[in-house]
Amino acid sequence: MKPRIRSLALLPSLAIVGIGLVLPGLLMLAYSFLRYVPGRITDFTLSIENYLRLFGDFFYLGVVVRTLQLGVIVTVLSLLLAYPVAYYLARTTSRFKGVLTYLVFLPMMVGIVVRAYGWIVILGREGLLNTGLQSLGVVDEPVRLLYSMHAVVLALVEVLLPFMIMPILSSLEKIDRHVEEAARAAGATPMQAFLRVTLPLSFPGVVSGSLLVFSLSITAYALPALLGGTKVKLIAALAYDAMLVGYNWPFGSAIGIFMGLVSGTVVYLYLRTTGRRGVAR
Amino acid sequence: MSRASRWWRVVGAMTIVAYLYMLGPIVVVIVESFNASDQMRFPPQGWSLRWFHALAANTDFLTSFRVSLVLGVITAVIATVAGTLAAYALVRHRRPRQAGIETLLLAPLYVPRVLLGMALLLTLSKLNLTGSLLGMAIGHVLITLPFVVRTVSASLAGVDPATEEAARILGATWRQAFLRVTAPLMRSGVMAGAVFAFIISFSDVYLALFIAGPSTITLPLRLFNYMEWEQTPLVAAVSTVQVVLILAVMIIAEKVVGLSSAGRL
Repeated sequence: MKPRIRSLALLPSLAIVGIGLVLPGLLMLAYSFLRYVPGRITDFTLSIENYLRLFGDFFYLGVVVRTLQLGVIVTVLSLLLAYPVAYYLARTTSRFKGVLTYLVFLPMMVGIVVRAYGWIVILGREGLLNTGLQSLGVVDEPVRLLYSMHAVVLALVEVLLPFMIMPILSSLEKIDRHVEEAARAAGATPMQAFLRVTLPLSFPGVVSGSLLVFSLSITAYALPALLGGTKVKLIAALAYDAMLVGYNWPFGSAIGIFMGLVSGTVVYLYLRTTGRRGVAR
Repeated sequence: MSRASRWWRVVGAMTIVAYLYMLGPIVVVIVESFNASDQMRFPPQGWSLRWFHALAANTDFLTSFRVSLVLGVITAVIATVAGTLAAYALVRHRRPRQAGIETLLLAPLYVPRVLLGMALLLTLSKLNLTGSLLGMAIGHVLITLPFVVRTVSASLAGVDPATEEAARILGATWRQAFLRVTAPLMRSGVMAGAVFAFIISFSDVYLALFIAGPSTITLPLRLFNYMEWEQTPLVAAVSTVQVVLILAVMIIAEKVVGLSSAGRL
């Protein structure tokens, strides 16, 4: 292929990323420095009032802190649940290994709205958990489980688990099995061999999975909106409200740029740890 | 019982718990869609197909179903063509600034969807495209393009460039060599990319939340809006149809081209 044709082959994709990502990103950056005027969005006067408002108000700072807390909790819980799955998939000799790996991906394909409804069926007033608890006599009245931070955490962990399992699985698969066997032969119990040998060697996967899950959980909007009710306000909800309820696009853009900086830093670290940049790896 | 097998049992038990947790929400939705009662209730007290009948009579959901289907197909076609061309150029013809271009093409994967939705809203309103199918298609092609670039690149990386060169030496023009030799070999990667593009477009709610208009409300967005007010098993019926459709697409793709052989994402 001649160089000219090569550029031509890249053109459609670059145009899409240019129109859909680069240009919108720059536009958002520009909006974040414009003054908000009720009714007509902006009068195109430069100002930093949007950032001052975001960082100068305890309400907004509280939302930022709560969002970051949620990110940490979701990341830790995902890690605890994902590690055994990744370890099992990496070490199993079962012929169902392919199917089991497939099943990790399957929920991602279904989309989050369907799974949010699944959690409503499980946690709702007449849902699985309440019916179960009542029939066991643990509680007399339905307990309020939905529309709380707990519900949001439960659902986010479920949705983000594949993003934790995959990096850990791929780093476990790189470890030579004989290393663990050598530790066992030298007298270590299975748990010692795991804690002293396997776990440290799988650390890169743990780090990249954690960064990915953290970045995705602090920017979640749909699940908190459906399962958190009005009580759980996270940073993405602030941005959504500014953009589509208040039509304060400059302020919404400032929140967006802030979220972009935080998640961009996390993703940069993620790419550094995995060292995977190329398209074909 | 030896220590090793006890250890393995603990790992197995924790894995089962995690799988129940991951698949539980989807399973209960499918069961709930056959519920006979008026309200969401689990486990169902009686069984019926009434919510599927209700869905068949609900023009809102049917319209949205059509919107999502059309959008998914348009997205898959554009993303597959553009992504395949780009992957071919990137894998076969390495050049300076290669890393920068690759990062740029994969970037939509790493930018949170909320931010993409917000930024697209700003841009599309400047272009007078808010709420249009074209605007939605731009957004969906953007988020699906990296998947196509990846699957096609992975399948191309497995094809020895020497096969194409051999065809050239035997007198084929590069177009003939591409169409007759390379294209058939990268078919599974292209098909996998197209399938993923369709599925991701079909199930995404984030972009629609920001840039959909009254005539372009996709199925996930319709569900989202509906669920904010009502949680009847109608939602479960719609979800079940969506799950079955996506499973069908994946199974057909697996049978036809071997999705799993096309490389992991």
